[in-house]
Amino acid sequence: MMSRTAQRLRDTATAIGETIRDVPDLRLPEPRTAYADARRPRVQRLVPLLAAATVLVLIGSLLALRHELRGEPASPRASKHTVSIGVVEGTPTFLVTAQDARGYIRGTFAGHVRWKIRPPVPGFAIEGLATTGDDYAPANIYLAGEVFRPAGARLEFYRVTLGNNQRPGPSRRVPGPAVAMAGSVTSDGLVNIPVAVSGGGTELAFVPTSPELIGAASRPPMLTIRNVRTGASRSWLLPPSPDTQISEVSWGSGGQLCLTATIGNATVSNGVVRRHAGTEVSVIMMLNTKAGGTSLLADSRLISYGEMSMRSGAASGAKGPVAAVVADGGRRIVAQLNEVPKLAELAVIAVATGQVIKVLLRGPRAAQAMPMAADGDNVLFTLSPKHEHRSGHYVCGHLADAQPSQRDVFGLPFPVYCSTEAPPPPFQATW
Amino acid sequence: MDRDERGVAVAAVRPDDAASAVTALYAEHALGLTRLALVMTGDRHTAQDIVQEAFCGLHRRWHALRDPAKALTYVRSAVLNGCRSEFRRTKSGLGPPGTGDYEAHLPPAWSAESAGLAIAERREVLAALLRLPARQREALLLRYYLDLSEADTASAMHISKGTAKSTVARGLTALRALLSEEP
Repeated sequence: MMSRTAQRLRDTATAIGETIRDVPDLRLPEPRTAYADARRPRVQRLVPLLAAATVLVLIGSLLALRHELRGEPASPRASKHTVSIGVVEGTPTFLVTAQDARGYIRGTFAGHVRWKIRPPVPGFAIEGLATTGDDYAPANIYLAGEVFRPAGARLEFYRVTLGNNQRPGPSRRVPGPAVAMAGSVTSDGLVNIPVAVSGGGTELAFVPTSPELIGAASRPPMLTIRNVRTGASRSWLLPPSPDTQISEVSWGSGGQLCLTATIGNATVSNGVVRRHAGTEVSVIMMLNTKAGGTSLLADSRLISYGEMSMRSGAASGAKGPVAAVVADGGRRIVAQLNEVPKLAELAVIAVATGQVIKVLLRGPRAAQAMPMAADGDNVLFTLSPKHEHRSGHYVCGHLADAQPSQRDVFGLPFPVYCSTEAPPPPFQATW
Repeated sequence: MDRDERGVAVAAVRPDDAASAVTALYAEHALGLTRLALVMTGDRHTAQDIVQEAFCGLHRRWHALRDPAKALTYVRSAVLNGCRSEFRRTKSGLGPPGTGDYEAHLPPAWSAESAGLAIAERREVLAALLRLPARQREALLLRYYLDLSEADTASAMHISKGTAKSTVARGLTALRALLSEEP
């Protein structure tokens, strides 16, 4: 017979438990390795078939390799562009997000908030994120944000080291001078400052001239690299133009710094960006960080570009690369490419040749497929919804995981909101 | 249909089809396990996350599972481990149970999602439960919430049947004392 205490416990637990009426679908990892030791006898029976399959795969791989070495796309049109719901093995189990100027550590499987990141100093508004490490190595998060000081708004950088279970530790300010903003009012998390950290975690690249920042219009677009130990900085500039902006930076594990930019009054001739009135180019470039100059164009190699007339550009949408991250140890770039009219792609570009070698996603669902971060073979990006909504507050996308080597795209449980009434603060995420 | 050690159906467990077996097991037991995780962690999303990760772990190790009929026991243990980690993690930043700081951080599911929990009786039981050592709390919930036998409670907690029995008894006594009940 159950005691009164046990009965009270059961009643309470049942009342709590019954607040859950259903559970989400199971997201099983996709199998990568099909055979384990326990199944060896069956595998042995399949040896002839496996041998034949191996030969076919080898032939296919050699053909694909030949295409790639020649710089030709290996049938990019052949991809299926399907989006699955699920998380595959090897997907990072957590990611770092920022919204409303606040930072969070969230689980990848269900999207719940594991930890909140405390503001390093009162009033700190997070506007940029970058991470080092992964699920199995101590990770550092770099926060870029504005702080209101008596002398005016300042852009400052802090490092947060994650401890056990990805718990954020205390914040430490990255050495080096704070970047003075021309205005005296903080933007309170309404802008997005491109930030990237080098593979070794020793240098931070950032763009202090985001066009939304107060006073940024009066400065030439600039990319700065700062040593996180000494605070020593170097900067590269783009030719000033109201239409020029650097929209994203990404640092590959092999040391390659990739940047995506729109350059006004420019064109591309013989693989080089040159001044040209009336046209603008969207570019992906790789910066040689060891070069000694200060011109971003002179010290960078052009990887991909799209050109359009400055008169028609706004009406017909951007053409060319919109955002890009370095993946696969620096050998490839995953980029969102826009073609006029209304054709968008999430594509894999070979760094060596600048050619598109795979298309991961094409069409309406790629319309906002902005890559945000890469961790190994997992590229985090925003996936447009299946159906468009045109008014009010609505879900205009989800975070998703693209795997360039597998051509897989998986939706993650992170909705991204838009609004036609008031612009919501940008949603930033990285892993 | 296979059955576990209690004779409970564990769905169509086919060793050569891990995904369908795990999916079938999930369909049958996920709700109960998620509710258990909710009671133990207090957060719906965390509970869902723990259960998802437990089933993913089962799927990963399916071929190493010597007895597929033990799959439910395995996943139950995984959920308990997940809850334990989560409880340790969230509790570590708070003050001791019973203090204002601790009460202020009671997970929202208990206050926002269940109007019935506004009843003082349940809040009192819950607060007392949270003050028990983790092992006693787990044993009590497995025994009196999931209605597991002593043997199943023991195997889910990886302890002997005798230890499970004494843990439940000690937990019940401690809970009774915290609730100021007469023995």
